[in-house]
Amino acid sequence: MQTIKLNIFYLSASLSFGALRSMGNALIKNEDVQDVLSISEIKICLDTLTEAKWIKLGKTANNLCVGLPFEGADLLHIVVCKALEGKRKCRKYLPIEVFIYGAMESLVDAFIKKRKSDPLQLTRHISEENDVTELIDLFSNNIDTPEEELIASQALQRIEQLFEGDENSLKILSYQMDNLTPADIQELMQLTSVQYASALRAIRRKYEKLEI
Amino acid sequence: MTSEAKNTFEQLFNIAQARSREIISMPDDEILIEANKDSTLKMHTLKR
Repeated sequence: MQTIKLNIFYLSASLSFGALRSMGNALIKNEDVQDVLSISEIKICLDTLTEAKWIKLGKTANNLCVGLPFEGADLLHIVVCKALEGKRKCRKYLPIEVFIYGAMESLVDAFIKKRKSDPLQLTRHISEENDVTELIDLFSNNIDTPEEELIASQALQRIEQLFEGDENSLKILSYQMDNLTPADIQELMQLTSVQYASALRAIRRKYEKLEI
Repeated sequence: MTSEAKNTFEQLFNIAQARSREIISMPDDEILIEANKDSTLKMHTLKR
């Protein structure tokens, strides 16, 4: 996207899951202007984002769009535009790539909740409504169609096929599908944190071979 | 959308979320090493 130089918001090498989650929750709605980056500061942060961080954002955007009727590049583009328009606020202490990732995750989550025939849409976050509406408008021809549901089912089947015979990985994936926490999964499977981290690494490497 | 399909989308999202949070938390040098092993992925991602 831009020339890649030194990133002034260097993300700690071992950002914990809990820390990431709390940072994600820092996407703010009624922000204190003193605590958030201005649009020009966001632009500078994006301009100086390192190659590694763009790769992270590209990969995570692609992951979030598996089985959905739009691509990671589109999702990333929308979120970056919204940040540059000032529609998404970023706290000053938050690494910019964590902010962008959190916004993508939040948008896809809201998009899924807002789908037709979904009673959970009543629980949607009002502040995300415009974002999601924009996303739906952009892909209106592909929303809530049988084809879309078929693509999602096929994506899930391909994931299951990819891990066929690997009982440990399938078990972890199954628990993750049910949205269990890492702590719960470790306890259920009697895995140490090291064993769990190793299993996750193996799953991630295999998952990245998906071409959906 | 059927409840089964709804469940499919949520399951896909939960899996993607777990994978993505791992990636965002990874050390930068590890990401670069992996990307260098897959030059296609690297170029593809950077173009975006």
